Amino acid sequence: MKVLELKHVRFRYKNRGNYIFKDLNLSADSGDIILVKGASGKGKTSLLNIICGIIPRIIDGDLSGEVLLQQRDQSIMNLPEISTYVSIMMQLPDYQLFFPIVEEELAFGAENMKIPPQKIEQKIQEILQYFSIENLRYCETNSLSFGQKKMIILSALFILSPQIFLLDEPFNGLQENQIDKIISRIKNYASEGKTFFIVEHFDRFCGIANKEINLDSYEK
Amino acid sequence: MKLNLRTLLILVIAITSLSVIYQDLKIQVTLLVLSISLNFLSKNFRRSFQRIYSRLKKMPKLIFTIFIFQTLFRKGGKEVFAIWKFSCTTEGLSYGAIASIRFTMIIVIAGLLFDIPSSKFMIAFRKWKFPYEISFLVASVIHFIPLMGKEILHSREALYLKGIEIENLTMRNRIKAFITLIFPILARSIIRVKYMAASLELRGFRLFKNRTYLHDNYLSKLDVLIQILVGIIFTTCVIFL
Repeated sequence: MKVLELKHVRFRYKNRGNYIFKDLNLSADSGDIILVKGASGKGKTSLLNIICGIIPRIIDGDLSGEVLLQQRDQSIMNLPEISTYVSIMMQLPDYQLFFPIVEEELAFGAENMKIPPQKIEQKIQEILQYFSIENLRYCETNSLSFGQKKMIILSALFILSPQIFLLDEPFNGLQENQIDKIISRIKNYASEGKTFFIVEHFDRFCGIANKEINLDSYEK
Repeated sequence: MKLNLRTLLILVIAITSLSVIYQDLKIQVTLLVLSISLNFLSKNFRRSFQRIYSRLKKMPKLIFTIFIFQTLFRKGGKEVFAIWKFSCTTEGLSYGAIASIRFTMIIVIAGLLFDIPSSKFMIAFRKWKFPYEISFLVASVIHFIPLMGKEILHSREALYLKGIEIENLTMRNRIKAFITLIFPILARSIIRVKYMAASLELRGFRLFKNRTYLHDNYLSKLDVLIQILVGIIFTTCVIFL
């Protein structure tokens, strides 16, 4: 089943001459793990921002073409509506931490989605145990390391569990054992039908993806 | 004694309001003593003492300045002494003392709320029927202030690494250095806020009118009792004092 389609997407940032995408077409099925590759400045992060609607709602630019989320036109949805289909992990975790305590951060999305408190508690316990970070539950988010912050954001996204996960350099700053656990969880979720877009520079992650988008080869 | 946040907020509001309403030295001292006692009762004695001490030790200059200004510019009562064009009167001294004690009291009583996570404020405000967006905004500001502080610290460190020590600069150069610091910090904050807003909505903020909460909070019998007592005492003071 197609969960995402981009048709003839054309985009450039405001007040900049060159188009980042001239005629981008791609689709993703449920269960896909898609690795987004490309040199710096080729539009990897921009692609994720277009899919989740940050472009053009928050970041201005000339955007044309169609973005369909489960056959629905994304351009007529607002960001909270899009959040029921898509979640994004940005490169900098500080942009995604709103609360002083880790537990509050983990619960926030689920609370917004009206998930009952008992279920939220269960999900928090499960994800913290899975990543072996139960000790962080009551820690202050400001005092966490870069890697720990990323783990918390990832955990929050897994608790939210939308159809499409957009992960921008998710393994950056993480320990090997944590990376293995994340990969295993991604594979597990994909087998349940979730779709992942993963932006990474390193070829070592090619093995986990069943599709690859190389933005170097797209016409500019 | 562990009190509910709503009870603490009511205590803080009542005590600060009484302090603002009454220009009386005895009442100010009573309120200060009450504030210190509440701090000691709220957590363990030693921690409370350390917290109050660490906050107040940064303030003597400011408290003294408040005292001087109030003393010199308030007229009335008998003249105690005069320096150049300024005369110090009994009323001026009294107001200086009142203002200084009031300021100290506000620092001490606010200490009751300092270590409480923002989510608890949101729950408390929700119980008082405040819109969630407003309580979230307040909580975000509380969360954002230390982050801004950190950014300023990092920028200062960057200046140190370039060999600029702000403490050793003249006032003019200090202002220049401050301007150099503040614009990048503001620019970064604006970008951060933009992405945070997007990220917030992409986690379902304001998706539905209502939301669930992982934790709820309920008032104990002691909380109810204290809230009623504070209400009665506050009303009595306002009517009869």
